[in-house]
Amino acid sequence: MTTEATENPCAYDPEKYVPNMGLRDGRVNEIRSFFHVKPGHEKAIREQVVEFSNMPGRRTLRVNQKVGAHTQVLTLFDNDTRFLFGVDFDTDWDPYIEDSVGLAGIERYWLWWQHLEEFGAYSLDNMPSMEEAKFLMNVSRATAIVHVNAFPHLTVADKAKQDELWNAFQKVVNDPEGAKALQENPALAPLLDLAAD
Amino acid sequence: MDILLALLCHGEAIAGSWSGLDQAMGGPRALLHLASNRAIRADYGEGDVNVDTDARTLELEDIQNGALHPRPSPYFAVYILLRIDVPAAGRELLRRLQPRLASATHPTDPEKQAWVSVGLTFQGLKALGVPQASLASFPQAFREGMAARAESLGDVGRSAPEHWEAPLGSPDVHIAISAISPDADRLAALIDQARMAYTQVAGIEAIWRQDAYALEHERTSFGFKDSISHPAIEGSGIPGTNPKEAPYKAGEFLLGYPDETGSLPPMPQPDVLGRNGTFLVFRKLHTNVAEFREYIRAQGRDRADEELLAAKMVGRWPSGAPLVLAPERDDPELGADPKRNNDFLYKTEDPRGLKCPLGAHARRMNPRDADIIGIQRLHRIIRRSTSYGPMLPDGVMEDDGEDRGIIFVGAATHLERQFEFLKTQWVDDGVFIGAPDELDPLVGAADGEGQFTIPQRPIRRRLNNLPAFVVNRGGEYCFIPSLSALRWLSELDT
Repeated sequence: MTTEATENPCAYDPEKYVPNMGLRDGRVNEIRSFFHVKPGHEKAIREQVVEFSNMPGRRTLRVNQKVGAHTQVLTLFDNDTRFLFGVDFDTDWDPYIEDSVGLAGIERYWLWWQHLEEFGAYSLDNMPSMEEAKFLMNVSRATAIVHVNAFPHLTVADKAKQDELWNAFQKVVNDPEGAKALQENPALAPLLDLAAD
Repeated sequence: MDILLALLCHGEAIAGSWSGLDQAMGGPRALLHLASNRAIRADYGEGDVNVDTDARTLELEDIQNGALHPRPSPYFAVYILLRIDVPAAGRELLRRLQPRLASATHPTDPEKQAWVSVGLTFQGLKALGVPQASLASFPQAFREGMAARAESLGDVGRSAPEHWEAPLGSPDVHIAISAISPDADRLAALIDQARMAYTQVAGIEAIWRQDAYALEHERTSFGFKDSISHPAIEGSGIPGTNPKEAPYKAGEFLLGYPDETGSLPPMPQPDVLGRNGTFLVFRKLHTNVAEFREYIRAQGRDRADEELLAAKMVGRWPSGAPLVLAPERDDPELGADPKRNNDFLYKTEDPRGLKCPLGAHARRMNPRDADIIGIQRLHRIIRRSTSYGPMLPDGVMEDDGEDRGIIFVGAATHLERQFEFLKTQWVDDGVFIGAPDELDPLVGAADGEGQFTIPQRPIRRRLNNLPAFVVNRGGEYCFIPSLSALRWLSELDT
């Protein structure tokens, strides 16, 4: 990870790429990439990042399932001179970065990449390729030394399914006929126990 | 604003797409987004299935025919691996092979249905004396070779390199010559010509050979018709087999052209070496047919149920009829009809896998427009696999000791993003379909502990304790140079 901005800290060099980064907790992996905000770009990056994350659909389960993302935390710190891109997700990091960027489109990521010193070699007319963007995320990242997830065995899809199951279960319990069936069939004992509260 | 409201009223299909609001907002940013990501949005079913009239023209006259051409039907094939002992000999061999290599022009010409292809491994490029700067420009996966990446690829246990058939996986594998033809006579003629080239050059040794041929009804040793699905590639002149699928950017399969992300894939240098070439994945996969039959027999309630279970694992019936179009029983007429047997998608026709399970082999290999983690179009390969060895006779449940299986051949420009992703994320993992505990039931690296869910009403069915039915006996990554590159290589003076 580059903790200090250097003259050209992020010149594309595939040899410097470190694969399989990220600390897993069960099924859930993490990425935390730390960037430097270009002087004078603090307000713009704040606005663009919020717009980037507030687009309709971005907060839907469907898109999060498609990206495999549990959480996304984007933070400005050190008087808005530094930017943290943090995501917790289901898959290995390296294979899916092209998918994650590709889903939104590299031009959309450019909305806030353009305000970062690490992307200083690029411009609207000279966008980074997918390999170059992946490299920059990689060299800017620090792997966690501790990663604790409340439900490390659950993927986003698992959570969606369990949410669905819970809602369906509530409907059964709320239905007098459903409640009766739970009580009368010994095979449903595990569910009956859950219906108690 | 009216457009925005209309889009939002269309619900999830648009709300789930980041591009929806951008389109609504219009403007140059949206147009830029549309232009570069048009193909990727095809993943959401918004793609343009018509051939892109702005498609960059491919330099077909420079591309080896085998790099693009689908496998003939039926087929006879031979794969020969050679070792270069003297660099000049390797170059001389390439010079002699050049007149025997057809280009990718006129793909429908009957003459083009049979061909010889030449590929080189990284060790082979070194043995030829390719300059170090050029060698360093090849992608890391190719430079390391398949054996060195075995663990990350899931080639462990019985599929680990220490069990591979010699010389596969060794640094002695330098040049790969393959020939394929719809008939045995033409194949023999092609191979005779190639053999003349390498037997007459001292300093070249043939170290391995594998014959392959279409089994009865063009089915694999498991008894299922294969190689039905082939993508359309912009500018190739070769149509795809699914009219509902938008053509792929040529850069997914050929170097020097934009790929699905809009970028040029990293290309070996100099330009003449990399351009119009591609990478080929080669794996000799032994199939445990008897074990497969035994497993199905043990799980099935009766013969019809056994056939259904096997089809659910594969994603198609033995005839090739897809489960999505024939969910309850085989339809040989459908299976044999190339105009219909691949004309389907998943999202609207079978979103929950009630016809074709989400984890079925064919659905994993090409999820089409199904809801998965990621973008399917970034991970497609051209498969050109063949069968080797005799069929285990019908009804035989015990292994007869014969070597039989599949010569897996796949072409792609991004070894990691395409083949290795397919193997590690879609075959040996199930997170992408919401089934983290499940592997590909047919070719996944299970080992007695595999699980496979068959969605069905009223209650889903689950198969347990799936063994591994496929063992990797060895493989390698090959670079398939253009015809210009082969000339350049043959004229090296290092």
